[in-house]
Amino acid sequence: MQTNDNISNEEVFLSLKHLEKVYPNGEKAVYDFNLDIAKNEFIVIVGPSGCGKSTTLRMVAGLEDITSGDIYLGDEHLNYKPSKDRHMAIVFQSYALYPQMTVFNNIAFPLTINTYPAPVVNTVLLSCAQAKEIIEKCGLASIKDAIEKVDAQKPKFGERAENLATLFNVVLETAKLILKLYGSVSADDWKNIADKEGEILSDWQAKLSDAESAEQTKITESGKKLDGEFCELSEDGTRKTVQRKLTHYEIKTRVYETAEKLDLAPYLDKLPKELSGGQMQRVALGRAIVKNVPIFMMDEPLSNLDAKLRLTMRSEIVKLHNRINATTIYVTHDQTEAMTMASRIVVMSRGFIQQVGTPEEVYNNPANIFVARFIGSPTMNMFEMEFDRNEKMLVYGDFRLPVENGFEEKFDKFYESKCAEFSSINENFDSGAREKILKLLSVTGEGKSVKNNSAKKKNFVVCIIEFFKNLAAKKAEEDPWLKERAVAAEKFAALKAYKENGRKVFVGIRPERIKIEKAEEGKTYKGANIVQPELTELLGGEYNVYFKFCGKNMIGKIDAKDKLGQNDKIAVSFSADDLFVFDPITGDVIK
Amino acid sequence: MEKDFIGIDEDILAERKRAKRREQGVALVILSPFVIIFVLFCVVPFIMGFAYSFMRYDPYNSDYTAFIGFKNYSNLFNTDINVSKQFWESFGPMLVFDLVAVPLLMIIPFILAYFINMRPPCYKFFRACIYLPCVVSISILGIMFGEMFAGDETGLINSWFGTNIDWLGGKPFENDILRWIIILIATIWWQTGANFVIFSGALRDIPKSLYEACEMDGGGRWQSVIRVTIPNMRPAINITLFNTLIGFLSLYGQPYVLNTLENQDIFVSPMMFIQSYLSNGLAYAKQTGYLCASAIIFGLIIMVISFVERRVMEERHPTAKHVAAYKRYCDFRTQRLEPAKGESK
Amino acid sequence: MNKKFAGILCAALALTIPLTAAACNGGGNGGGEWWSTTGELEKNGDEIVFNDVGLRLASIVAGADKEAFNQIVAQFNAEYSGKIRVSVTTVGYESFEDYVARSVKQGDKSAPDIVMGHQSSVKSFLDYKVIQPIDVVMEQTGFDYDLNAFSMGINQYANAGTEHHFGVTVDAASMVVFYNKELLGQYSQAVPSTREELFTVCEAYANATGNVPIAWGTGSDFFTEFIMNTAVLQNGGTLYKDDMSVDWYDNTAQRDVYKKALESVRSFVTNTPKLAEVGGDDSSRLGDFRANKAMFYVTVPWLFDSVCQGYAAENGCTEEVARTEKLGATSIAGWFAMDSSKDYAKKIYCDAHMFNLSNKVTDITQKAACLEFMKWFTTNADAGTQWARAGHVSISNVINTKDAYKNDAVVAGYINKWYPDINDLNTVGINPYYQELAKNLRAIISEGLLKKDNSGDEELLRTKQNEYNSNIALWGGDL
Repeated sequence: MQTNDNISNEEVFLSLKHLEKVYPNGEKAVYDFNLDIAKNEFIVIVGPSGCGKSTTLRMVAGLEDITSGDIYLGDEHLNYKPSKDRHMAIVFQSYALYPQMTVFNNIAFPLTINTYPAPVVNTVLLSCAQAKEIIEKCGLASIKDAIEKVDAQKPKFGERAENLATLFNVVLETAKLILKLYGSVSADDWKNIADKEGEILSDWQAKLSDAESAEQTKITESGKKLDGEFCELSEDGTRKTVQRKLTHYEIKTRVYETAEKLDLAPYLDKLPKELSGGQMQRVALGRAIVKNVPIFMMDEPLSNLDAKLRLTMRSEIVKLHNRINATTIYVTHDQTEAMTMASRIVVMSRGFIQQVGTPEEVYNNPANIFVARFIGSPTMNMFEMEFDRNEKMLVYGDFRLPVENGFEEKFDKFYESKCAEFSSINENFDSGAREKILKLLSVTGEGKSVKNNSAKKKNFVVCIIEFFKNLAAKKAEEDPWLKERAVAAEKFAALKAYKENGRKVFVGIRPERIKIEKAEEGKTYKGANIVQPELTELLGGEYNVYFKFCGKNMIGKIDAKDKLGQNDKIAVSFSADDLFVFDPITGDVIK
Repeated sequence: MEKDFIGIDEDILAERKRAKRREQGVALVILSPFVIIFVLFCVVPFIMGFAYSFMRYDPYNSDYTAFIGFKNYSNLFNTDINVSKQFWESFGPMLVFDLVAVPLLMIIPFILAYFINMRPPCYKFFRACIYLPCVVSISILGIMFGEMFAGDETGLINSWFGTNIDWLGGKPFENDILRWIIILIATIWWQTGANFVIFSGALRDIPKSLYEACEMDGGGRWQSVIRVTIPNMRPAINITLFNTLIGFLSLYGQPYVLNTLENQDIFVSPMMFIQSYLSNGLAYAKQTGYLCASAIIFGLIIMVISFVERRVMEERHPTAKHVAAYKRYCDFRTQRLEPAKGESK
Repeated sequence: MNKKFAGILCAALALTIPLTAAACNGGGNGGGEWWSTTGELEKNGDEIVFNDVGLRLASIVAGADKEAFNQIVAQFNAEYSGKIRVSVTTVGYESFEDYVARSVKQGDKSAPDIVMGHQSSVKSFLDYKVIQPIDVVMEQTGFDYDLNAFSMGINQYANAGTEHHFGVTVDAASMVVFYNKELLGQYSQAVPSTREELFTVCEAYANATGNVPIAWGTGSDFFTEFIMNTAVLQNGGTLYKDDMSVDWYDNTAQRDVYKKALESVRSFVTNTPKLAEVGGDDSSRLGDFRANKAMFYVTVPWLFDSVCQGYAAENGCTEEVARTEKLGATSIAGWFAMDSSKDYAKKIYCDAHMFNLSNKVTDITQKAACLEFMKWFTTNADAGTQWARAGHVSISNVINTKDAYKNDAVVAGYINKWYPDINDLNTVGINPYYQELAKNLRAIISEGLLKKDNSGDEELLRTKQNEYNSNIALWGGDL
């Protein structure tokens, strides 16, 4: 249950406090999930199937009800807000694109059905000001050319003004105003533009000034206040915002922007069924980012893609995340994705957070056996050794490893605190204690989570029968926590024994940390063991070497510069610094 | 067989061919009962009817049979002949009824299926209630609703409310609106189940993630129905619309059993017209060719209507307008003149 | 794929052509006589010997009277066991003509030998050569049977317009009248027999009690057919011309008659005080009669038992008592005659059954056996009585003169009261388009009754006449 103490209070953006999820049939999916997320972080929640990561994500998004706990976005309490009000966007594993809509419409969909806050702009004044600027800067001739260029494309009704607005980079109303002014001049006059230029310009200026002054009087009459960009101000001087639907032009431009960012421009007319997996993924991303929300959530988005595409999309997603300065929560079962993409990783198992930390921390300082084995490919090698206090060595048969300094103290301190913890657990076995035991089981991987009796689905007849059975037998109620109590007692006894004379430990070492050399005939290798590898896998630049050591199957890596034949032996050694020592009873790392 | 296939025996190839033919033979044998019955009872009578429509044909008098070309059809299209006028007039009430009934018979089952899909308590019971009337036959429908809505004081509804409304009386397009409402209610009660079952199945196949995506995008209940539910039910809607439309174009049973003396001789659907003259007395036998012609024309009209329906319901491929518009947008953007100051989006 | 489709199409066409040819072949030999006779008759003196002759009879009687008919046939089979055996196939009236014509024309083994249908079908059967003349058989076999000893009004059509005799008319049925003896006794000494008398009694009753004296349901097919046509006949009109077309409007005399006929029915409803209602059917009006509110009840004769039972149940007496003491019978003869002095004032339009000899029979012994059955049915008093009780009065003079028939309680108390003179009974005759006729006459009376006065009658007659004439022009094959 590691929390994130590396985030200061000011930076916290999204705060998840004590989130829990209990399903109606009594099954608990998420236990006490605590996480503070800062802005622009890329959080990856990783874990095996059924560990509760998707459930957590969906709770945050609002697709699942929160049984207990709170979600805060800044100061906003999000628990009871509907999904669309949570400022979040989500990308699903199955992309969930609307099959009947084109790519354009899929991306535009969130924009078309929602209202967005926008400043209240006085369009008359703004368009007049912009029109005046354009006339000044560009001159009559280029305006005429521009409009003719637009007309040459044979635009449909609304597109004329829109294309002109794009050309001049002004708002739509300005373009409409210019078109109106253009239309007020007869075709003959346009032909004699050289002579009539002054006339036309002054005419236009006059019209614009009239409109402006008329609008100004209206404004002063109504008592509104406008700032420099013609936005209405409220009493305290801030810009007034109003929730409105976006105009067609605004939607179009935003969709084009998004499509360009994701290279989807050639596919705007295609239906989802005509797209490949990667393209669909990008459309789903586009639909998410077009909303301009601060938080992005992704639920295993890459699992439906093939391996090569996965690699490219991985980097795409991270680049996108950086480009739009988003805060992302990403759920996956693939630890490689977690390691490569995350700014911080949350490892989960069976509903419990196992560890939170940066990729380096999680890789180099795993908190328990589960994290150690889950992160890293190939998996960390784990084997049993005995701790010999007298020799201050880890012993397995003939093989001896020296322990680091201070290990014995660490060892004793560890077991003392554990014993104290467990004795209080056993004395006062409440629901909190039970959850601690469940967490322990999730680390060690023992026994599936115990279901409550109430989790069994009963139908009506069975209910009646059981009711009468209970009445008749007057059975004492079965203890639903029987198993956990037994585990607690068992573990406590084991820990006590260890405190006295604990011996066995689990030792872990990462494959790449094992020093492997090709053992040549006749050479001696100090401190190393000569073993015959069972299997070698050539990955291209290196070998994965499978061999037996300390009675366990181990994996190591060796550079492929020297070819390793079938009968070649290897010399295996490692240093104590690279070892992780785990407690076999609780699975926690001893340090 | 060429010896290009090195190592493959001629015999093996021949054996494979034989096996394939055997398989096809087995398929034919299994198909044959249906094909034979279909050919004998649908295809052959159709061809015969088509032939008779060009002939002066009397099934009981072979001397009368003669080829007269399009005379039957010209008689049919000649509305001076009272019988032909009756034929064409019979289309009117049926089409008006269909315009109302077919949409209702799509919307009501859909609404019911939608709500049952939400699995309220006792939903299995409701489901059975909705489907059960389908198993009733048209005669029973006629007896039930005929007794309920009999026009005098002894009809069940009339005696219950103490009224004396002539529910099933009236002439088409004059005062028989009540009759059609009764027929509509009876038909909806009777046939909702069939479409309901198909919609129920289709609703369950819609992936949940689409609804969640719509929710996240900000769509409310109405949006999710319009954007997610209905578009994903397209195959089901296609088949139910087609079946319902064809079924209603051959409207016959309901007006045949639900009528009064006033309108029992007025044909309110072409099927009633054909059925009441075909094999209904030796007096009509001489014009069997004419009746066959009317059936052919009726069939053609149904074909045309269903063809139109298919075209309308076809999936239209979206035109490439967005890509073109985007190109224009890019062009204009690159040719952008001086950007103005003070723009705000 | 295309080849296979073409193959199926060819196979279908190959099947079609012989079938079509076969259908066209089911037919008689050209003009002249279409019946044939084979075999020898075995005679024992004057009597014909029948040895286990099996006959098929196609019967149109499919309603409540089907039981009675089958029982009578069973009785015949019992009497003639070892000699003749008749088996009955019941066919509904909608497909009766087609069934008989098709099976006889195609030479089906199961085609009927004797056809028991409505008299109205005789012309169609004759035109299609489905039946053969009976008098020819009688000549050939020396059968002793008077083909003219039947109701004149109905038997006149048995020759179907030719010189041969094509059918034996069996029975007739029309609308009949029940009356409440007690109520009638209070307002009249005798049962009214003319229209004037009827009106007098009814008005007196209506004025005194405020009830509607005549209970009838105008909403039934039977009412519209029987009453309308009876009204026309009682006013001296004809239903159609010799060429099967009608002149209800074009012929001014006929127009007059039909207007009178319509008015004669409508006047019951529009009279003050009201003498009868519009709408409803027999079963809905029965309630008024059972409750002793209506004095007369006009209905169909085969509901006889249910009327008695219903009345008995409502009034707490036995059916026997109801039948013999409480209820009485009278007829619609004269009810609609505007001029009671005319001899046609008592005519009653009915539906009649007729036996025909189908063209399938060729063996002379079989033909004789068919004749034997027909004769038995129309001369056996027991058969006549049973059939009359089922609602069909015998129109055979032989049966009508037999005591066993005359003195039967039901026949005397009801049947003979319902149809006072069987010679006044009329049927539709030899119009093959009787369905069209019925449709249009039905429309005339049902629409006519809906109106309060006779202002629209002429228009109604004109449109319906033109409709009918136009329709039969098409159906007759002239177009």
